[in-house]
Amino acid sequence: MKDALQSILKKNGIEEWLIRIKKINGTQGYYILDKKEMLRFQNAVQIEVTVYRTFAEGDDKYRGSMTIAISPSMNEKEIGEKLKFAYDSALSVKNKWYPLSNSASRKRTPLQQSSIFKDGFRNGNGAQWVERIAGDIFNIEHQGVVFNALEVSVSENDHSIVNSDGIDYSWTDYSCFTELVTTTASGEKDEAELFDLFRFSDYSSEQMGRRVKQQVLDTLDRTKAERLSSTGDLPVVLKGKALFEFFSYFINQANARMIFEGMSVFDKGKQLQSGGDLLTIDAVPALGGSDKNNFVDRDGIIPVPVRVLERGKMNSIIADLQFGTYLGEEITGNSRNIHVGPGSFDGDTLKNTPSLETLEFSDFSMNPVTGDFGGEIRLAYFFDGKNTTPVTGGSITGNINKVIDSIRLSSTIITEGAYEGPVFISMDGVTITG
Amino acid sequence: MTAQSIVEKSMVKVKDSEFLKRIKPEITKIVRLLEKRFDYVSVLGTDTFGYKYQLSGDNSSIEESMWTERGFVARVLDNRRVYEYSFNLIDSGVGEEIAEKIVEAVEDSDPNGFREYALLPEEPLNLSFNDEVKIDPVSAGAEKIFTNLQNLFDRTLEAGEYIFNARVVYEWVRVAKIFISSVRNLEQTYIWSQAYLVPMARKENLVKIIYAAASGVGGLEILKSLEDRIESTVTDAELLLSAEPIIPGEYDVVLSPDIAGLVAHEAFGHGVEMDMFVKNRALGKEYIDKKVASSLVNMRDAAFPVRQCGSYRFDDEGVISGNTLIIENGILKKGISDTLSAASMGTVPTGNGRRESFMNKAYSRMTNTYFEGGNDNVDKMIASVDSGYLIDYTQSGMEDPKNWGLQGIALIGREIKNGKLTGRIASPVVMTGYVPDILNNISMISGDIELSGSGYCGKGWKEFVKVSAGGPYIKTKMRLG
Repeated sequence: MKDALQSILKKNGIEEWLIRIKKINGTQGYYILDKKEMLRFQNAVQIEVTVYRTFAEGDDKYRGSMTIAISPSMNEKEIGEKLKFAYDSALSVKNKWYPLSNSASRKRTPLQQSSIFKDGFRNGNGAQWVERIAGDIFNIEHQGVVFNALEVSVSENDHSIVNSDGIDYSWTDYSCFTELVTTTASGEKDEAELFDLFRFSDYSSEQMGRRVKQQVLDTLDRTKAERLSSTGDLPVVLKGKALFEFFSYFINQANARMIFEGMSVFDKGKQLQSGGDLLTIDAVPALGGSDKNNFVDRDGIIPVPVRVLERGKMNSIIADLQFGTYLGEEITGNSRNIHVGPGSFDGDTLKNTPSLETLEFSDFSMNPVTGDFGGEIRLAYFFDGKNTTPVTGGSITGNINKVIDSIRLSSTIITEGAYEGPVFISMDGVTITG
Repeated sequence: MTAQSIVEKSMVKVKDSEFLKRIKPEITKIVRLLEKRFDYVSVLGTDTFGYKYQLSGDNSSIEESMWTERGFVARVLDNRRVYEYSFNLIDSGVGEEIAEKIVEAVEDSDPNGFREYALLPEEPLNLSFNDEVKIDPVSAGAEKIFTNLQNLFDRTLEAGEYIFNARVVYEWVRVAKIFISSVRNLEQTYIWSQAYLVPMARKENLVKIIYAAASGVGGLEILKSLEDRIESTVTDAELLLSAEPIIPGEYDVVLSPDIAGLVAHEAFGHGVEMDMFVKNRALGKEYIDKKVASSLVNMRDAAFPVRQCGSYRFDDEGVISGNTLIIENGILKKGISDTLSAASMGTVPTGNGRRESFMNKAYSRMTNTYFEGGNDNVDKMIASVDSGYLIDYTQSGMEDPKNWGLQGIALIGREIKNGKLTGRIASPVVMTGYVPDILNNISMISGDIELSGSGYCGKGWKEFVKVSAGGPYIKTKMRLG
């Protein structure tokens, strides 16, 4: 398909272009209790083509572009017509000129995915992987808790990216997820539910086991949880999935496009923190079994790690090809995993400090522009200095700029999905609504 | 371009998919071949495409819509076991090969451990639906669309002292689908559009953004409603610069149609998706024919005849669009279902089986979900509040149908004191509460309803589909934080 597309591009007189191809071979199992509701198979190819134009008005040079999807079922005539439409439309996109590739990136070597799936996916083994992962989960001890519904998806993706400027990379990665719904068994005070969507690119039955066991414990505790009432001012401890979302604020603020458009207050070299544990945050292209690993980004740039914050000081910008060029930055490519350095807080200190320790939210959200964050609590632990009570309901809200000087980071770190960093963080100045 | 020039043209028919027409005989061949081997066979085919145009200061872009898809999903029932096969590599003459691959995939997998389904028999049906559009975006061209967006952009920047930039977005999508089974032959084609205006306000080091959105079944004409909202949106963006956090507590609240839609969608809509009944994941299952809301409340989910972004004529399982009265005078009447959950529950499918794309499974999903209008008006509601907020601008929401918790985040709470808006605003506003309490506390409902379909809906954190939600202004009580 790659060669055929290049030939059609040439026939249509399109000289500057980029082609992205992703071939997907996937299998999904959907379970209600421990029975399969359905088994699904995916066999598809996704193709995107960006066509570029270079034009000038007076002394100013511009870059026009348009990205289109090409279906593998399109014939040559259809593809030609769509490419022509894109080529004509690209003239209406009048951006400051930027190059199609970057010399520094071309000297880098793309990382390769290391995954247990690598030796065992080629020959239609997706269904076996689904059965194996589901089996691992169903075999985990879960007394008092029902595994109500489970989805398991495994996909092998063959990627290639090629452009008119000589970039030509191919690689394979794996995108998988499990979604497990746990409910306390009938007869408990109130049935309580938690669900966990876990995305990964490599599989470890031990890691899956730890995660599911924790979900079982959390579900049991949610059953016992009291409605959150007034707690007064307390440090709030964040744990679990909310941490990635929380720290994503800094990654977004360091994004070249956000800076170019004026939506970021990122100011290289400026000290952001005057207290608390000083934050060191990196955007990294690959992390363990993360589903956000980016071996080559959408522009064909091989991404490198970017230290966004160093000891509380704004350090470097995540510079994609277009907006990084505008800002005069070294092109780093886009990385989507977050690494946060550890701090000074240990688990014993946490246990002895009155706090609201939040584990599960309905949907913890962080506004990437304003830094406002919050969410409804599905499970938290309220420690009043003497007793710990599981609580549910109510919410927390805050603004990152107002809490940043009080942030304390755990000294232990965890790698889970696209996040590697402190197991928990604590902060003051968060509003707790009971 | 002025507002006048982008409205009121005669309607034109949305064009069919040439591809689906061309490939339909091959798909029919696949169905006929598989019928010999399986108890039930259907194929859904899609050829959906569209473009997203964005303009922001010194930068603009055109890209394929995230909703673009061209492919097929075959569903087969083998000894009461359900399998699906998604594919997009097809051309004339390869139907036999694809049918063989489907048989092979089924036969190579372990047949044990399945739930057993007896799908309800399909009634024979032929349907062909071609919608109409006022200003066809397919033929409008990039230049005309950018001219409109530039006009909106320029007027937004001129409208406020603290507006330093804005983003304007227009996206259109032409949906074409066919559904073929042993007894059904369905076709539909329609266009929906959505647009955003996002003013960005800055005062010293503080940056705030807000949005106005327009959406609907139709074309470029939807931009007109954004033009009408430039000033109010810019005013709200600048008000955000002086917004204060809310003092946590329970308040009398007046919900805008946008937030009423958020409540309808998150609080109750997800809770009546009947696949959640099958999985024992929704408390609503135990409340059919019981009181769940104030007797003023009527709530509905309708893919047709309502005309918004969640509209269609048949769902992704070949069931004709539904119009379901979910809550009638405060009593929960009925849920919405896909075919498998209907088969499990012994009910009739309501036409709510929807997929993110041909690559995904169908679930019970909402379409256009809304509270019906009542007899009050928003001025009377505000006048009746001693201390509370008028809440507007949805940021996000999440369902919890098992435990009937609500989470919604709004960008603006307009303070009401002694029956009047004070002009002060709080932001952001996290709304939480126990759903039956919120619905039972509804004491006033205004007459006219508005639906907005500019966002999308996930099942948990995935499986995104276009929906709309809305309602009238509603007065109730909520916990705000």
